[in-house]
Amino acid sequence: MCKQTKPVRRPFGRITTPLLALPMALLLAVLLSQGDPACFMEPDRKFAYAAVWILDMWLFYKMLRTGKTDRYRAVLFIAFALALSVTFISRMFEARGAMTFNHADLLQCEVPFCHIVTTMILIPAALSDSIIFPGRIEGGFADISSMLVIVFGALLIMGRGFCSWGCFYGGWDDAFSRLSKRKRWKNPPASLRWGGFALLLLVAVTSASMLSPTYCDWICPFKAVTEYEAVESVEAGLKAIIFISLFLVLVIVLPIVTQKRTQCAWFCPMGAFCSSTGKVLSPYQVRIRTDTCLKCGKCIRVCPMGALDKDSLETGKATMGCSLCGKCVDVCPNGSISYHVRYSGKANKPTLSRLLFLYSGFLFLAVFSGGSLQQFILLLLRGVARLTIQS
Amino acid sequence: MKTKPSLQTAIAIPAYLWAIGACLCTPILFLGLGSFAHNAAGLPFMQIHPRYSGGTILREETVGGVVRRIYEPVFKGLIKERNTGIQQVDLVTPSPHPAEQAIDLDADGRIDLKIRIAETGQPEVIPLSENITGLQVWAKTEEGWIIRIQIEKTSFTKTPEH
Repeated sequence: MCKQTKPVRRPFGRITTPLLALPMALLLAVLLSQGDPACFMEPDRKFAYAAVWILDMWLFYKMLRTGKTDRYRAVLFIAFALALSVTFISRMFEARGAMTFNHADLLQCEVPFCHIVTTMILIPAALSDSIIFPGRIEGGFADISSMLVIVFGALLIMGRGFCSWGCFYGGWDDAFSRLSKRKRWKNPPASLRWGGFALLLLVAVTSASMLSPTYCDWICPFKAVTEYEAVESVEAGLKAIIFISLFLVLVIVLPIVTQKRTQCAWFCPMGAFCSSTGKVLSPYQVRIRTDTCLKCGKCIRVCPMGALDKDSLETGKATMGCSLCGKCVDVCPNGSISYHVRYSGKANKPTLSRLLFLYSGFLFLAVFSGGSLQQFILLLLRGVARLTIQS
Repeated sequence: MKTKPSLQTAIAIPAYLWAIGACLCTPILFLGLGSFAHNAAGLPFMQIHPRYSGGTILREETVGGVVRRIYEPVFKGLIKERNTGIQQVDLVTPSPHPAEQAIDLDADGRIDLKIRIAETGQPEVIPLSENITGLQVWAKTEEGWIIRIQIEKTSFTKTPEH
């Protein structure tokens, strides 16, 4: 028989919460400045820095105080995706006069590297000792070495948690999956969760054989909100149509009708790569206490990655698709789902495990998003200033 | 089989140490990003594939005020060399319409191709040797033109040994 336990709503008290948040406040104060003293000199940059620090700390404080994770994570995660796209496109307009790249950018290896490309460069890097991407190895915006360090660091820290705490695209379908109040497509086939793995295999093999990052070249929906090849040929035109169509279908329409992060859960090779490697590298996971679980299925319904099924309730484990977003932990009516440190077994302390995970995951998200959010605020401030001068 | 509480705790200690390690990794990762990235850039595989970078410059020559950078032919594939490849030629000149360039790619004393820049700025490649199949891709840059020529691997074209 299931035991009904009282949910833990406020894991930390009024005094403990600020004390636990203090190290985060200090770490963010240091890391958000990115070692740039201009953060503290120019008034607009000072404002952007302070605004982002206050937002981050408010969200972290609320996470600790309320015991809710996903609600506050999503605010920062979605803001990150939006801010990154806006600042990225504005940077491209400044540098190139367009959000598209042309042959000169390709031939001079000036294309910014994104984490999804990691899945396509690994086999060629191992076999031909080179990177099949027209980017910069070191120095400049989104260079390959920095991005690879961030990706592999994130995998070590939180495994597939990267998809909900680090990916700068994930916020797009996360946002759209929250828009509709009614789930119009209630039972998408469970087999779709293997789509990302199939795609990972496909793009890894095709990229290696063609020596070209095929996913980026042809089917990445996020090209529509970052950059794509200038439409100067039929092939480039076809690619642009594919990018925009995939963005509309996978990132807007499907998340709205399924209330799931369909692109991230079903069609992202990077997600599958994080799942495969993170299972070994990362210490965190979400576990269900089978002895107290009411089997109400609420967690299965809300899981945006489709990572929980009836078997999960029996085994107590989420499937490989779990991105540690914490939505199931938040909605569980009797607190049977919690963050868990792998191999800690029955000695696992859910509150401590969650705190450790939040210090890893939230700090990663806050620092990684910090630059884009500050840039976004600066863009807004400068836009407002320009309008005021004109009027 | 049930595990004793003391054993459970003993097992949990390394697990929590692992979690604390991961927790410490986040600030270390961002604080040391520049240095980690610099070290990572020195890894043996951290070089752009010559099909993207153009490869290594074979020689540089100045003819009629135009600096010509001629790159090594690139046939590198995933595991072994391919039969078709590219060879890059950079024309560095401030002139928007440089004179026709006759280029000897492999320095054997015979002209392999001619490059003519049209009024529109588009280069035209005239192959004079059997292993040159045409223009692959080109771009106008601030310093001049980057031109990639499609080539076939024959006994005539061999990747120079280093």
